[in-house]
Amino acid sequence: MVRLKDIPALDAKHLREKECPVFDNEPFIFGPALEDRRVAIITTAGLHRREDKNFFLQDTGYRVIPGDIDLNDIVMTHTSVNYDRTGFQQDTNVVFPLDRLRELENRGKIGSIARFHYSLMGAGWLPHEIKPTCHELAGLLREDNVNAVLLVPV
Amino acid sequence: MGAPDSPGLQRRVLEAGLGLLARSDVPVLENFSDQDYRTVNEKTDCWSCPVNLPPRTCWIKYPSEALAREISLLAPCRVSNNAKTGRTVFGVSGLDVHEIVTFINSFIADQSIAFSGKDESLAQKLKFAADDLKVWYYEAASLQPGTISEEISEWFWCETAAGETLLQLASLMKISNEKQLTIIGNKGIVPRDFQHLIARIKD
Repeated sequence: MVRLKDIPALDAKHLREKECPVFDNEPFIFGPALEDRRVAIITTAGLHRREDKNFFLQDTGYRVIPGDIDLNDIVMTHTSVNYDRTGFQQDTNVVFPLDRLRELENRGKIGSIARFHYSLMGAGWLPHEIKPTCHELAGLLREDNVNAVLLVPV
Repeated sequence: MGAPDSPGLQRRVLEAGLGLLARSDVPVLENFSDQDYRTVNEKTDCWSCPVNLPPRTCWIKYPSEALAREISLLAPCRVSNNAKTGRTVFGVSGLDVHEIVTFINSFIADQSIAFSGKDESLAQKLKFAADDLKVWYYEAASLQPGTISEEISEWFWCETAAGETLLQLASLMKISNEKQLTIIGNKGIVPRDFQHLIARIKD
C-alpha cells in the first residue's frame, strides 16, 4: 500500500476522508507454513485479459486470469482516472506480481501458485454490494485448494 | 507493489507481505522499510518530452489539427518505446489512434452524434477511447529515460493538444442530459488534480 505522503495532496485527502468501518471481531485465521501455501492473487486494479469484457462504472463482477498467462496480455480498464497508471504500463508486476510469485515458487519459498487469479474493479461500490461476488470467489479459491491470497489494490 | 522493472524490490515487498502470514500477534499493520524504495521514489532525473511539440500558444485555436500533428511527431517515439519494453497496454477501445481522434472530435463537434455500439454505450466508447489516447501518449513519452509519472501527467494535461481535447470532451460530457455521459464527464476522463483546467476551456 502506497504511503499517503507519496501521492498527490488531493488524492491523499480523498483517501483520508473515506469511511472506515469498525469490525466487532478480529476475523484472522492461521494456516500452514508459507512453503506449504498455495497462493492466488486478487487484484482490484480492473485488470483483465485483452479479450475479456472491459470494466465500466459500477461493475461488481470479476474476471478470471489464468495462472499461466503472459503478463503482456493483461490490460486495465479501471473506471477511476485518479491514480497513476504509468507503473502498470511499464511493468504489470507492480499491480499483479505473478512473475515474482513464480520466482518464489521456483525457489521453494511458497508451495504453489493457484490455477486461476481474479480481478475486480475496486471503485464505485459499497462493501455490501460486492459481498455476493466475494462469496463466489471464496468458493472458487477453495475449489482450487488456495490457502493464501494476495489482495493487491491499485 | 515496489516499482516497475525493479524485480529485486518487488520480491522484497512480496516476501515481507507474505512473511506476515506467520505472525500470530494479529491484527498486523507494518510499514515496509527498505532504502531502495526511497531511492526509486526520489529519482531526480529531469524528464522532458522526447520530441519538441509546438507550444500551446501556437495551436490553441486549432487543437484538432494540432492533435494530428502531435500524433505524427510522437508515433516513432511510441514505436521505439514499445520495441524497447516489448509491451503495450493500448487497445481497450478497439480503435486505432487515428480512429480515436476522429471519434472524439466528432463528439466535440456534435454531441448528438448517432452511435450504434453493439455491446457498449456512447459513454463507454468515449471513456475507453480517452483512456487509450492517454496510454498512447504515455507510451510515447516513456521513451525518454528518467520517466516520472507526475511530470508526464503535467505535460499531457497542460501542454498537449491531446490533453486539451480531453478537457474539452469532459466539459461537454459533464453538461449532457444523458446520465452515463455526465458521470464519465465528471469523473472518468480528467483526474481530480487537473479538473481545474476544464475552466480554461470555458474561458
